[in-house]
Amino acid sequence: MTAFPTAPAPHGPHARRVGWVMTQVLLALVPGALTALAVRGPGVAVNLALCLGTAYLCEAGALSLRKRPLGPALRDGSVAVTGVLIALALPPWLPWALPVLGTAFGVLFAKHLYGGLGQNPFNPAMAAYAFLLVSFPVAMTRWPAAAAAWDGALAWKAWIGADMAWDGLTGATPLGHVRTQLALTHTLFEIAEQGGPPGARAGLLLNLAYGVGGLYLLARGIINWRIPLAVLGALALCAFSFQVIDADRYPSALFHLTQGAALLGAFFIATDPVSASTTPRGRLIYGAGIGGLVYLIRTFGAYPDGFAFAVLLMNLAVPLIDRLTIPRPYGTPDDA
Amino acid sequence: MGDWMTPLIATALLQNVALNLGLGLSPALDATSNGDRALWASLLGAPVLVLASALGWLLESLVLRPQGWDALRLPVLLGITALIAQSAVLGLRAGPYALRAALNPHLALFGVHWTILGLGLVLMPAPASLGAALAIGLGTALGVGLVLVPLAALVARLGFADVPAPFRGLPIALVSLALAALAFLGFNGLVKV
Repeated sequence: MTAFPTAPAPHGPHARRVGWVMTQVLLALVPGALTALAVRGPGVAVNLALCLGTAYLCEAGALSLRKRPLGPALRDGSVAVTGVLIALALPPWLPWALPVLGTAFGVLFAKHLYGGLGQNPFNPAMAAYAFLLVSFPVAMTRWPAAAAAWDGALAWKAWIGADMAWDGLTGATPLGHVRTQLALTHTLFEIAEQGGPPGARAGLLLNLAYGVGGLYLLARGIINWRIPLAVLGALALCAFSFQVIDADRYPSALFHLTQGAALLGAFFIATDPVSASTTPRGRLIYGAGIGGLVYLIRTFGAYPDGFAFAVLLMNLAVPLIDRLTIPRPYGTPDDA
Repeated sequence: MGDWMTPLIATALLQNVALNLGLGLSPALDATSNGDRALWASLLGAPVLVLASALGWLLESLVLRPQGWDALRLPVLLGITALIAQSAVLGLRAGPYALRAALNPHLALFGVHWTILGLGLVLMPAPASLGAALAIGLGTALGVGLVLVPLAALVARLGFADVPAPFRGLPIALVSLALAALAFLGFNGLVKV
């Protein structure tokens, strides 16, 4: 006489549903989001609201156009993860139309044109970010200086897209600062002597917060260790090799790992279960490709950080990687 | 870095013929060939384009420029590429049976495909040296291969996706091409072009 009917054997653990996984990912993003709010100001909350709202609206619109049931897709939280990742990647002082436009592009073009959840070859959040970065390069690189981050009046002016002189109120990110100074033929030693790149501590803090969330995802078995390890390992290896060649011009591996999108990207973006590679060897290749491309773009390219482009480039290669790295079943002869 | 490095990177990554001009895409947009056609077209296209670029440079610097016939650059380069591409196709037709069998359904299209890529050579600035000409030929072939081969595998996978009816087939393949082009913009600034 049990209260619960017992299903026939085998008795496995409960299935991991998309909704549960996405809730865990959102939970793991909480420390990073709170830190972002603290160091970047109220704009982060505004971006979160705009991106989440747009993401849900676009998801609902696309599903109803295709006459698909709205309930399951809206409840599983996958589109919320896309919206939150876009919002966390964006600078906080942004005209309101940009987060809306970017999120709509990501959800509609990179996700729903391909048939929705589980079928998109490109990461929607990174497609949105790259789309915004190449379309609005000035607004997308306007990061508030630490002192001005919590100035509500300035945030409002940025939000409505007011035409004003932003010099002095905004600053480059640490990666951008180092890049500009190096281009002016300053050495890293000189940059460090002048107190290092401004905002480096905030960047470090933010990356650590994302790292904590990432370790939580690893511990819960939601993401596989191969992709983050390969991303960070390749990035560190490239940075270390170049630092050995010329320590005055190439920042250390530690700097690269703790600045920009490094840990957010390695744990939350590159590990997207849909657009990432799925075979064990493929994941290592995919991750190492992202790490190497991030270093290439950061060091030799036109953009201070290259995570979005690196992820999209490797997304393009994923079907090929997967096909070439299908695991060989035990006992298959070598020439099969 | 020699004078071949910049044109090589520029043509392979920044001024990618397949992405910037949309040339020579058909092997990737054909979802039925499962990527084989794109792979063969890219692999065999490299020697064709390198040879065409080098011969074109020779003719240009020995005949066209001394005679002041710069305006003939387009027909000469395209003609050379077409000649080499068609000879390559004829040569492959006479090649070993296994190769012919693998290429057979696509071989007729390859001549046109490589000739079209010759247009990419025309649109690049005239190379300054033989090394640069070889680099432009190799870079063009490499850039097209870098796009075509992964894109073909991606398009083949899209056959299993629940793509909305109006976008099935060619439209979604072109959307993918556009997103690939967006991704390649990340290479901006690697070399000055």
